[in-house]
Amino acid sequence: MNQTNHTRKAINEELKKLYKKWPEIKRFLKTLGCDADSAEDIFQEALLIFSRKLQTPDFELTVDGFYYVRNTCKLLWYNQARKAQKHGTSSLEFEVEALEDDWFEKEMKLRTIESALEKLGKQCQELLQLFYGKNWSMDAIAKKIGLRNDKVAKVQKYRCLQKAKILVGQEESLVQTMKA
Amino acid sequence: MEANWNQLIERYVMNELSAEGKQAFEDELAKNSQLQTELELHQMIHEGAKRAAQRSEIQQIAKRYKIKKTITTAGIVILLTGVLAAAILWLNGVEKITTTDTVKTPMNISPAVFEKMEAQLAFDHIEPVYFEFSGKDSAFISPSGVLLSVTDESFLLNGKRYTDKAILQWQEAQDAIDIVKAGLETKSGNDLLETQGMFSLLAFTPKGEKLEMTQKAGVYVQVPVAETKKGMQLFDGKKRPDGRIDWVNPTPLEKIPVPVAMSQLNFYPAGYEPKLDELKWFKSKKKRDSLYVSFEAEEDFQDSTSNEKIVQMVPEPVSETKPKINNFPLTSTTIVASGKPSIENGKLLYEAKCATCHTLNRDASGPNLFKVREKWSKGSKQPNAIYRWVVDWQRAATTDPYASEVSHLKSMAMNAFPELKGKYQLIDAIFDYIDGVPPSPVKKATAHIPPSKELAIWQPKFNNTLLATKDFEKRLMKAHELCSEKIFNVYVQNLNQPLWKSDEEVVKMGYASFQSFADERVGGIQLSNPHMNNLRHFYESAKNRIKAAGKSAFLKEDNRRKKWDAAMNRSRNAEVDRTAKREMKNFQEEYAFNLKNVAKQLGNTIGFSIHGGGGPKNIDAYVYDATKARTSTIITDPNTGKTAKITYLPFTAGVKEATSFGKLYAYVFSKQLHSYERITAKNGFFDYNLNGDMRYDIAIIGINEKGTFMTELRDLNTGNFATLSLDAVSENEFEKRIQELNQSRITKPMQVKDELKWLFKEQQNFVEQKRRTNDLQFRNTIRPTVFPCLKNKNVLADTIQF
Repeated sequence: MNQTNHTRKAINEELKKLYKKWPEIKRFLKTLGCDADSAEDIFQEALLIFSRKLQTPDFELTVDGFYYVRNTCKLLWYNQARKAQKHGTSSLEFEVEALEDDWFEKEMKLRTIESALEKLGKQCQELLQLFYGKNWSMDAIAKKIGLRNDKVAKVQKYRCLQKAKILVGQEESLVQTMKA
Repeated sequence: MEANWNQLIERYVMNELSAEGKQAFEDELAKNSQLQTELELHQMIHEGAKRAAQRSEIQQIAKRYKIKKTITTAGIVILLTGVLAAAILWLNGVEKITTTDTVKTPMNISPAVFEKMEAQLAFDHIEPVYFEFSGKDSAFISPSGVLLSVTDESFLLNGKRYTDKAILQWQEAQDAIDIVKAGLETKSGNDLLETQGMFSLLAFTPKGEKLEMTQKAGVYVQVPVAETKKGMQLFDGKKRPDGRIDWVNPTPLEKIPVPVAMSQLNFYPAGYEPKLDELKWFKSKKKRDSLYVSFEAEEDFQDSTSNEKIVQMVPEPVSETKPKINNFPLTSTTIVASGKPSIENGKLLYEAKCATCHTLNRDASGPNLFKVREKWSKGSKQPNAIYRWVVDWQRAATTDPYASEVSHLKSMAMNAFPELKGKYQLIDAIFDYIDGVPPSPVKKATAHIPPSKELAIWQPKFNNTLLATKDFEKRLMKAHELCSEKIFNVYVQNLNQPLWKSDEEVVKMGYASFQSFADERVGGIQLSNPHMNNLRHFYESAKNRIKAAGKSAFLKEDNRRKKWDAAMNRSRNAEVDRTAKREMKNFQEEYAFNLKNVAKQLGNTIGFSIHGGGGPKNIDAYVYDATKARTSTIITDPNTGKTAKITYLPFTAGVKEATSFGKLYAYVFSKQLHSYERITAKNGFFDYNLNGDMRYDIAIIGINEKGTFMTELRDLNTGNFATLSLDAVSENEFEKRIQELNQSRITKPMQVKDELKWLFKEQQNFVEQKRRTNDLQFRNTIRPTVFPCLKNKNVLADTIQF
């Protein structure tokens, strides 16, 4: 299965199939020392990373999707464990792996942005997600959220973006990388 | 600064800047590192929001996965329990439970009571299961998955309602092993049964007294079966003296109706959609719904238009011949030459000549003709007034005041029937036929299911009710065939009762064909009372709203047509005036021209007296006559012997495919006169003498619903053109060419602007009339599918007035 069709529908199907492997992944993570709750978050994050990777134009899957996801879970777990421990006593091997994967790093950065966005109000979150994520029209969004019309929604979008910027600015790690 | 950048960056990223703006931004970006970081931040937020959206999609997948898992697990658990129970049974063999066996003993029951209950077990060798019923509404699931729903109205003790705690004793034998073990038979009398399970439920008070189940509520038992087989019934078990159980008294099980989304159902009468598909009409449901409702509006309108506005019937200008009406395929009728024509003849004549505008027993474009002869013999002083009217109403209106009154009744002009002149017997036959068809009693209410009501329930709001089921759809189809609104009402007004009950009500109303539906024994879908009320309100307001919408749409179109016709009438009135004036002016000018011509030739004309046949005449008179008749004449001055000649030369022209044009005119532009002449073609042929001393340009024009057509003949004063082809021209082109012809002659020619305006309006009228005819034919085709039971298929026909 080297070349997957990258249509949204196909990706969704792929994800559904992969989710069935969740018990396996859970066990795998458990052996690495991960608890059940974190395991689920990690698994979903890995799926997210994988599905987004599938959407990039020149991505070719060289291994089975499952292995990609499992590997990603491993990386995520180690990142998390490292942070929790605060003293970096993780083996070099994994660090190298993590660093080599640009995509992974970028995704991690975005992850931080995501958590910043989570601090926005529910309406802002929904608006931004619908507009940038699902590409809804301003009209449709206005209707869904309960704003009067698309112009009002557009103004709201600007405001949300302002707020978001402030929140992201407060995320330390990000500021670091940005300055770099 | 930052705030401004924010907007600008967003617009740049969303590609909303102009080319210059974009360039300016990028220039700034190249040298401004702060802007760069801002832009990066902006883009990351975009991406972050997108990612968050994608994350929620994954969470959806997670949710779905979990639900599936829960169901499967639950299923497995139940299965395991069942297996376990079976295993235990097997392991324990068939020994009776002893009181020391704590596994099976229900709590708080004294051993004595327990033994009493055990003694009453219905099936031997089947392990019972005990449930403790608290007295309040509860549900229990048996090991094999049978659901028992018990309420405080389920039991009686000694005939009185029992609402305290109770012990339920349940036995089930579902597979062959159990059935055989229990010594149960699968026979009803001598017939072998195919069983999906045998059950026994007994209830006891904590003291061990046996309870009875109530008749009304009882206990609801829902059995999961591997497959729903048709014809499965519920049998009572009767214990025979030898201890065996006989299965008797089968009652059909209620079939559970399956809810279907309203959008999946089709409530139209059977032939409606196929007919529309055949005619390749719009497929959108909205359009088909509004067409459907329009028939209802039309029906209601029919009955209310007995008093139309009093308008003057405007006939076509007298100078033109009435064109033949070609649109409806009228069967040619042989007019009976001798003997008294029969009613059958009258019918044929009526259908050929009258039915387009008159409807039997109805006021339509033409008034109701029932017993019209009596009306006229009372109303008019003149003998045979009605017959004269039929032959030529215009003439009748000028000589008979009653006829004149009648001519004010309708705005549409009636046709004339010169072929019936003198044939009063035929006209009588027509009226005999009409009088022979008695007015039918207005049974409209039961003739069909009102579309507005039907559409009111054909809504998503009624999903998950009895109406949103295939079962109801079937019944509605049948109700359409029977055209019964009453049947429709039974179902719609009894949403909360089982379908079979409504079926039986319909059967009681006299529709035996619904018995087969009642036999299906389809159950109901329970709705809560607030929900029911909600639906009821919705239904009432929805059907009224839909009906009103249909009516207003109908009235709107009707008004538009009336306005159009009124405008046409005005245009025609003006045209009649104009033509009269023009013709008079033309004549005067040509007469003056001829006079001058003669004068030139003779040298002196005025006051001359010449003897010809019939009395002293004046040259003027000769010239007058010649001009009027448009014939050549030679006038001799006896004194001088000089002659003057007035010449008229023939001009004839035929037009190719003349019948395709509703109007065919020749505009004759004389270079020597101010005004033009308009000649109407007779049978597609022009025959008009031209003045030999003038030069003419002639434009032959034809109009029909497709457009305007013309051809030109330049600079002639005679000619014979066997067949001229008319070319299609645009309105603009047409106007241009006519103006050109008009201008290129004498200075200050008469204006053609109004004439052209009138012509174009007439052309548009052709289009309008064609559209009306098509619409009428379309509706006549569809109407039988909407109202399959309507006897009177002869419906409203708009006049074909050209």
